[in-house]
Amino acid sequence: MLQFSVVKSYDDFVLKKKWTAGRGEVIALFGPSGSGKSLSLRSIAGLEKPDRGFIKINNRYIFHHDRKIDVPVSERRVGYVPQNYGLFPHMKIGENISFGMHRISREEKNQRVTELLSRVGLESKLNKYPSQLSGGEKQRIALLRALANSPEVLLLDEPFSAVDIPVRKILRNEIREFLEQWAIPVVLVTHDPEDIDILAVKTVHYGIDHDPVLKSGYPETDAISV
Amino acid sequence: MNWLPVYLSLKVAFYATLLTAILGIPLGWLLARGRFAGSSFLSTVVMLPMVLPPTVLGYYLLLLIGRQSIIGRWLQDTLQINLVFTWQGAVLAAAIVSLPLMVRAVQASVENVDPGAEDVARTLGKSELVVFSRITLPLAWQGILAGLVLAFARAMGEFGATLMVAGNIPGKTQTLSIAIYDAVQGGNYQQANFLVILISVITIGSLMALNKFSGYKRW
Repeated sequence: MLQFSVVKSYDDFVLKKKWTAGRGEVIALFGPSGSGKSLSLRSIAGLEKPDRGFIKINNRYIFHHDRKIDVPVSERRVGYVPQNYGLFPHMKIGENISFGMHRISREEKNQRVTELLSRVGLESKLNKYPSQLSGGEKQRIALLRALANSPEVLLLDEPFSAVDIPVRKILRNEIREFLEQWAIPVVLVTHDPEDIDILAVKTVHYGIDHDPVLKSGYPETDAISV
Repeated sequence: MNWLPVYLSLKVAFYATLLTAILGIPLGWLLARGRFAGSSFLSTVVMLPMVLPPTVLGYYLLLLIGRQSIIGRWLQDTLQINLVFTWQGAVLAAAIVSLPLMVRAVQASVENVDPGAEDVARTLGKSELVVFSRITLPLAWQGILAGLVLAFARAMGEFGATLMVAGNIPGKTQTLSIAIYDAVQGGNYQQANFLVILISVITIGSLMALNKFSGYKRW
């Protein structure tokens, strides 16, 4: 369960959103660019700090403005796939996937990596570099890497923006099947309605809001708390 | 042939490059990734040695570390360090002159590293230090290497600021370029030719090595 209730101002734009995603649920943040979708995602990851509100994963606050809780990025246990996948170009696929695995032996790491790769049928790519992979393969590796640490939430930022339209259709179905194996909330940022049709259980609409009242004074946290 | 200026220049350039790396790598990273007030001011200050005449830089440096200044007096009285007219002073002068080249190269190469990859590393539980050493640094190393080579070449040929701060003491602070000037002034063309050819070979060699390396990619 992921609860999101956040206010954040950015230049002349104010993000004010409240939504909830359950276990195994894919929630789509849908809207035009510049409406704060990625900002929301980055706030959950801990890469941006909201001005007000709270973010809660299961029973754990990872951010709470009034209680002064702000768990560092490295301790939030979120899986994050940025827009262009953010694969480490200087590391082989195996190293990319095992990069976040802590406190386990080398054998265990290798075993876990092979097991993960076999789930998406990419065992043969173990010793390849990201530049040797196709767009769809890169995406699957980025997903595996994000999930390798058993995160409590998965964050996907425009996962299909970097692949061709015909490939998108295949990937959407693939991802859906794949995500069904992980019973965690998934937050998907998109501006493509087709992503929502195939993948999302719930949709949160984002718009560009230039509310002058919001700009001059923030609402009390109570007013937006769940 | 007098080899002393060659040896001295190599020594000064080596330490100056080291100092430039210690200052320049964090500064370049900060200018590329930092979001803070005063970053454009910092950027201007760091770039100043590129446009100011070296003699002016040397003069500022003299004012800063000379016996009349607070810092200079403190260095002298407390640490018994005197930088003026020493090879260490020449290192300082060469380092300041080379710093903008290093910072520029590091800044440009860090800006080229995908911020998404750094963000992913953070979400995978890595500290800022690990993100820098395992993601940013290996991906930016070619630019950093270029900065090091340029800084070394620049330090090797430093003249104006070095002359102001370290003077022209044969065997002590007389570096290559100063020795060339000295030899020409004294009509010793044999020594001048020798040193000119040598510094040309060293500089061209390092730039060629740089070109060879900068095309190399493991991945």
